[in-house]
Amino acid sequence: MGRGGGGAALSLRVEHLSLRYATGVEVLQDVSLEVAPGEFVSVVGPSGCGKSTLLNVVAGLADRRADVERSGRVTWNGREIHTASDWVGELGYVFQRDTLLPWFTLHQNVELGLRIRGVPREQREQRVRELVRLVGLEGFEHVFPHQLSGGMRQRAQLLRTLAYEPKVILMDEPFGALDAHTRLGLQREVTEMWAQLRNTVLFVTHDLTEAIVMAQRVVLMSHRPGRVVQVYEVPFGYPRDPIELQGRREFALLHAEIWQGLAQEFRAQDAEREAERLGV
Amino acid sequence: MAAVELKRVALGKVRWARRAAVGQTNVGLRLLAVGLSVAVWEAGTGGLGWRPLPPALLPSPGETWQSLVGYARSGLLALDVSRTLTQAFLGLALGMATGTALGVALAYARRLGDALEPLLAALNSLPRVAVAPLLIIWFGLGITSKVLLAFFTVVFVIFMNTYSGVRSVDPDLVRAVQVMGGGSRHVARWVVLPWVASWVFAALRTSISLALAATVTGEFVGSTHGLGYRMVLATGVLDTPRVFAILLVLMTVGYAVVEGARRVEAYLLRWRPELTM
Ligand SMILES: Nc1ncnc2c1ncn2[C@@H]1O[C@H](COP(=O)(O)OP(=O)(O)OP(=O)(O)O)[C@@H](O)[C@H]1O
Ligand SMILES: [Mg+2]
Repeated sequence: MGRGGGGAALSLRVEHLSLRYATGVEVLQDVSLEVAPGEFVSVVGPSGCGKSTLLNVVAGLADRRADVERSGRVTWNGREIHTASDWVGELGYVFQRDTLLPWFTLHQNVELGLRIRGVPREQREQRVRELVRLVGLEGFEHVFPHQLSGGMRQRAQLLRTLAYEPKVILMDEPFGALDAHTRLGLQREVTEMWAQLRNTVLFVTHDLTEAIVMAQRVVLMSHRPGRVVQVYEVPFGYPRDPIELQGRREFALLHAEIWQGLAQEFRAQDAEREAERLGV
Repeated sequence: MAAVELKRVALGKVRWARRAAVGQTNVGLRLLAVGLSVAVWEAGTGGLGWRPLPPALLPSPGETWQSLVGYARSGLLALDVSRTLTQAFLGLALGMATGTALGVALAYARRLGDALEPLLAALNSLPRVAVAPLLIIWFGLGITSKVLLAFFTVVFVIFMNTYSGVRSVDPDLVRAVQVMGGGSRHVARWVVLPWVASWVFAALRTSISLALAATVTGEFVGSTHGLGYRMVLATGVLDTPRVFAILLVLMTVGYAVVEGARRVEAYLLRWRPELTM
């Protein structure tokens, strides 16, 4: 898998991961993946191929569940991950679903991770203030989640994770509900922040452009059951300007190449559905 | 940032407009409704020079008021109200504490909860006032029997709500806290507690009315004080204006208490969309 080598023990590794739900649906099939420390990897694949499931397993949320059967391992720094607590606070996960706590204000939600880490009140306030300004949510600090728009809630979830600067960050379509303008701004902010902090990032998106513009490598997954079809290296350094990148020839070539692979998965998925419809 | 400013102002304005609209419709129309009811009552009890029923069956507003004033002057009204309310609240408090504790405990001890659920549901469907005579036999005419009756009336309602509350906690919210590194203490304080509290509050308002009704029923069956006791006395001597006066007191007290609870609830659960809308 691409890099590997010396840093293997320190990286995030997914080895021969297979998973099926009790309903009989086989979701992941022998997925192996390695993310080096400080690397930014994005994952693309057809809807329903198991991207969220993969992140859940990595986060340690899929084990000890009666409705899930899995084999293979996930390790971080050589430590095997079974439950969320195995991450000992080094993980951040921006869920696809809105999981802000509805009874806490935006401010209270964003500072949760800092409170868990025992950061004193004044430092928390300052950190939240900085972050809120970064994504243009000033004035909404003391508002409850139901009083925020969908895009604002998504930004709040992102802040909740960034606030405590976890070593490993999983993001599941964090910009899915955003307008093009905000999205572009956040792509830049997150990439910049990452370039400074160098956390290990696994970033799921359905937007191929976004995947290339942000990541160092792009993982293409097959239609369900999800397998790793191919891993593409993105030949750009940082800092990056998402808009400027999109004008480059290398970008166009890489985009076309991955798109071809993705389109093949779409076609295969459609063909399978059609066969199911006619056959059974 | 101009857009943000604009949105904030808009949010404030919408809220303000909503409150204003509610305020206007309420006061005027509601007072009118009360006034009309009293007027109809007055008209049917001699106000228009026509009185189909004698005062012993249907007293007029004036007669009721006079009886109420007499009741208050004797000092018994304050005594009875405080006795009835004390009993109802003690029963409610006991029921809340026990029901919540039991609900949480059984929801966590899954096996035990599953085993006891049908039994408790059956007890819950028992008409609680039916045990009033038994409680009087066991605990006498004093305050204890009434407190226990109120307790039995509310404890199952609170228990059931707490139990279903704990069991229906959104697992994704729990996961979100766990993923941030939160332990079971954080999950309990930040996810389970607020969630269950919202279920308990939902049961609180009904429980207050239930506790009050149970107390008065207990006083009917056997007591030496309280609004229910005074009502039984007045009925015995066909003092219908006094009965009406007591009913008015019960209505007012009940309304005040439930309305108070509603406001506390609306404040504590202001994070819920349906309550602030
Ligand atoms: N709890 C569950 N029980 C049974 N099947 C499930 C469950 N959760 C997900 N699945 C199935 O697993 C498959 C993969 O789901 P997953 O959410 O991982 O897809 P995804 O790649 O994230 O899709 P999307 O891009 O639409 O978010 C889906 O076909 C879904 O129906
Ligand atoms: Mg998904």
